[in-house]
Amino acid sequence: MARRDDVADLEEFGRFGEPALLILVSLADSPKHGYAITEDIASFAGVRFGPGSLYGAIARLESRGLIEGLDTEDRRNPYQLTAVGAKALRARLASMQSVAKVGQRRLAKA
Amino acid sequence: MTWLIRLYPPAWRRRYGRELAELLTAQPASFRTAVDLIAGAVDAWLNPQSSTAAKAKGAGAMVPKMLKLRSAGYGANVATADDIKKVWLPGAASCLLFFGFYWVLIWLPFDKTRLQFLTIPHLVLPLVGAHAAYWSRRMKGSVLERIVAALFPVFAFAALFAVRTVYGLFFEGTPYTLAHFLAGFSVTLVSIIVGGLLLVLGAWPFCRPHLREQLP
Repeated sequence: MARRDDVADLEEFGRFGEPALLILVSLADSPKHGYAITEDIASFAGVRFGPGSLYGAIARLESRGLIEGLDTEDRRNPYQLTAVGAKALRARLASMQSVAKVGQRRLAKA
Repeated sequence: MTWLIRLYPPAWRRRYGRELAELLTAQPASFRTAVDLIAGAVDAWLNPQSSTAAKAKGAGAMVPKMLKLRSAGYGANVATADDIKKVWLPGAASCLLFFGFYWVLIWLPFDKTRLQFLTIPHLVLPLVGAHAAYWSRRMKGSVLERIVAALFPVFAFAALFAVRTVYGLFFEGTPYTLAHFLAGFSVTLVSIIVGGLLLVLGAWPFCRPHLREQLP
């Protein structure tokens, strides 16, 4: 049940759902600042979000406790995944994986 | 392009403004980026996130608190700017809606009588008032702010009359007589009274507390 709740957290992001998921994936290995997140997402997903979309998603993720900002003296504030964020990401990826498996199985039968 | 950051709410700018400016300087400016920023600013106004307030805990919390102490003479800039935008943004959008409708009406291909030309736009006013009050409420405007936002077209009528009078007195070739002034004044007065009532009528359903605001 907890897993469904975590998945719902990302679903309520509306048009920021996709950027939010990709930001979580980007932060899964190490903390990154805005520009590094943009570049990382462009490299692994092939999409480049505009700064308004990126920070719209970051604000939502941060207010729900899925990511947190690290305090630095630098103007470029890095973000890291929280434990709640990691759990939500795992749940979402597992959900996507199961959907992908069903789709592939059905395609193979067709 | 960093000036577009000024479109975001002050609380949002305090939290993310520096980072966003940094990101913008690292990217080439483009039309798409500008549109994305404007859409982001509209979203930030309509859907304020708690992260912009959450960061104000601790030592930093004093600054926004002081900014709210307008009666003590502190920080009128940011807090007042926030309040004003709850009025003028929806108000200006509603003016655009109303005068846009008028413009379309002018160009519609049918012979309009003087009565039709004056009454048809008035039918749109409740919708315009509702539109302004709705968006002001979404931006967490008070009841007074919602009503003032809804009344923006009325202020525009008064401003247009003032401009017309000045133009007639000093710039128009033909003499601007008292009869001209009284004719314009009476039309403006009727527009203000009837239009104001229609605008408030439309805004009224959005001036009651929202269901979410009634929750404990």
